[in-house]
Amino acid sequence: MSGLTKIEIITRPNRFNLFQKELAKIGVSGLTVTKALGTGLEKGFIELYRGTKKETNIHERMKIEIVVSTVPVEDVLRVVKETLRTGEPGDGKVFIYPVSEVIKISTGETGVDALQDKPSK
Amino acid sequence: MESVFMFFCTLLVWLMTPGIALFYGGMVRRKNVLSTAMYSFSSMAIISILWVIVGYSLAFAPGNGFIGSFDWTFLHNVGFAANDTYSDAIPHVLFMMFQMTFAILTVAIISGAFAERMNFSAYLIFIILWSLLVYSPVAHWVWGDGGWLRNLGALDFAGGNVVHISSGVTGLVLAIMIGRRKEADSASPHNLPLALIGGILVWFGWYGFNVGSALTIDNVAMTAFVNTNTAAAAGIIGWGLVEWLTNKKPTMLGTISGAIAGLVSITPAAGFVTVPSSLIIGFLGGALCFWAVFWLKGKVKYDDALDAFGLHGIGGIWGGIATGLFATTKVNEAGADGLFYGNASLVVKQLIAIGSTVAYVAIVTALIVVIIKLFLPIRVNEEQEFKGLDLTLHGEKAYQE
Repeated sequence: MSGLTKIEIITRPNRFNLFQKELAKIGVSGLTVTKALGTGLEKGFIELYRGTKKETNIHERMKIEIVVSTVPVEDVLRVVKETLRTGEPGDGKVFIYPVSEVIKISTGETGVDALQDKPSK
Repeated sequence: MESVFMFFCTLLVWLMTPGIALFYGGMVRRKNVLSTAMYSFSSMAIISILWVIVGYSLAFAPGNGFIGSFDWTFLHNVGFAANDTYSDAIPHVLFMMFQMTFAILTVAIISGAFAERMNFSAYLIFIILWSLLVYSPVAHWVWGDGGWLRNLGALDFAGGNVVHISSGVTGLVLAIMIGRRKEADSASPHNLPLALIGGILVWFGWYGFNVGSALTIDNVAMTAFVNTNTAAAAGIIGWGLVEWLTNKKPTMLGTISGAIAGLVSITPAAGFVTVPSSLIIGFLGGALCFWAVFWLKGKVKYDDALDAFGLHGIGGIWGGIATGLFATTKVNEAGADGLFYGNASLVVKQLIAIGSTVAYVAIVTALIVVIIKLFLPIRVNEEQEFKGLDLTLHGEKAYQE
């Protein structure tokens, strides 16, 4: 195993700033963020245009992808729980995958080294 | 002073057509915003030219009860001197320009019915034929020298028949003959703030439309001014109240639609009724148009994309009837008393005017469509409709990624 884990979080966009701040405290600075649309347990909403009703249950979400090596996955999950959980439907999901390799394009470093902010000695 | 006033009113009405371009443009999907605005802008190009060549002459030159003549083609004899038949206060050529802005606007209003699916070439041919065969005759009936509805004594202050009923009914006929959009049920406005800006311009221009129809700045013009604003405001409340009760939420698009419904409704009556009457006319106009757009359209299943018929057709018909009910000579000596002032015959005249306009407009519009269909497709193909008319007909996109 490479010791690399990818954590993919799909959640509401409105708590992202707090989440990012808390992640930085445990040493995670690199994130990939994508605007996402999705459907789950949260109820839909109705749009009205001159009385024409359009029911939608696709909600705006954010997909956050993190790959960690030295930072424990449990720490990330704790931050998720502390900052993203409201207990209401629509809080989102976390998916965890093993990663076979990471390559830093600028230096060619691989594995754990590729994830560090500064080049390793 | 009259000429300055009418010049300003003409400019205001001119602004309504670009206003319609934005109003309609915001209400379609992003792939059709430019093609929708093109309908309005090409109306400005085509009808402006057609009007000075022959349209104005057919509508306003002395003729028979049904149509004018070719006497004023290329504005022959239409100069700076006033024409007493229409106004002794302003230059004849200014009256012609004022009327031109109405002719342009009417065509632009129609385009709301078939937005997102009509072939542009067919549209251009349609508006040329329609303006000559429908707009000019109907304008002549109502306002022209010797027009049969004018002689009958039917009242239409600023174009309830000529502009709104004719555009609304034409829109309905086209919407039915062209057919529903493939994705009619899932289509929703792509930019309501744009529609709001357009709606505001249309409302603003409407003051020139109604107040200017007095053709001079007098007590009738000021009555029309107050009535126009009152009815627009009451239209918002009428529409908004029914919408709030029916759908549990008052919407912005509903608010601006209610204003337009109120404005359409008061148009034929603007210079003939009192302020309390304009309140009732606007309020009921808003409520009725909401009913037409929400209930009638869903029930009958025609796809009047942006509600040209729902607002202008229904609002115009209601306004015409309301003129027969509420008109009073206390407001305007040149008008007549309506049913509520002891004269039932005015309602009958109004119904004749409305009925004949609806029938004539519907039949001739249908004939024009049938004739155009012999030569070229009136509707875009499925692929073009799916990709959007902006890209497939005009080769441009409103929004780059």
